[in-house]
Amino acid sequence: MQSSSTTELNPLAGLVACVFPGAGHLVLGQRKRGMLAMVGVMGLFFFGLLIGGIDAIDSKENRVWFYGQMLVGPSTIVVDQIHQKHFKAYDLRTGALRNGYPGEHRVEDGSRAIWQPLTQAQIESGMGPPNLPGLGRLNEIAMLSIVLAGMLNLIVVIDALVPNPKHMPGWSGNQADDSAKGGA
Amino acid sequence: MNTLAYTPFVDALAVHSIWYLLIIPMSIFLAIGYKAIRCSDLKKYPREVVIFTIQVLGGLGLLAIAFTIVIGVLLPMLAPMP
Repeated sequence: MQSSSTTELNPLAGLVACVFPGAGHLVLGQRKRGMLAMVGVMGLFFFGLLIGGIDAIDSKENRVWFYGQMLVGPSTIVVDQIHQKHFKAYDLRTGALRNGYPGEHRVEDGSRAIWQPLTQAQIESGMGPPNLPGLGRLNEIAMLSIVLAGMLNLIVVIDALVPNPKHMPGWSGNQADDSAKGGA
Repeated sequence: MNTLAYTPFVDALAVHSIWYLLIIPMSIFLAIGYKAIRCSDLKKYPREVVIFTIQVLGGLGLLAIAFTIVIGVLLPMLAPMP
């Protein structure tokens, strides 16, 4: 009988873990571990978004941070796409795609969105850009939180890909003793 | 578009004055995720999460004290401002 105490590669669990944090452990039958890992990773992810807003994920302006954030999985890419397509617009003077400044609003101009200056009356009525970007230290903490989520998810993915036999359901210390005796 | 109302997960939170307290929930989430993988016996999980959180916060606190001493005491002694 093959012992379950040996470390074996589980590509399916690894792949599923890449798609959503903790899902790989659910595939392995480690339901509680998977749920707790998901709470940890997605907690850091949403905490970062709560602190810094959608601006905390930006593949164009914070590219190096984005590489770390991408380790969370497709969630980061979806949030980045929403940010780029629905919150940014083109600056008509420089031609750059950027976030809005106070005193501007986003207008759809044919196939693309542009920033247009607001009149004083419009500003007083509460008009402005669609989001308020995080600045300084808060923006750094928000980006760091999502990068930490990515780093943590990397550990979770590796653990799902190469599961610890001691964590597998039905494992007991006697199995390790039996296999050691059989191998001797 | 009206921006007067704060929209969670879209707008940044205005907590500039208490930025250092944000380390606490980050440490807790980190401990929850890390110990889910590393803890061999899940019966000891809550205790290990608490210990890991305290270790992270303690380590960061010690680093803060060390940097305060270097920047506030040692550097002015080594290179006094004219």
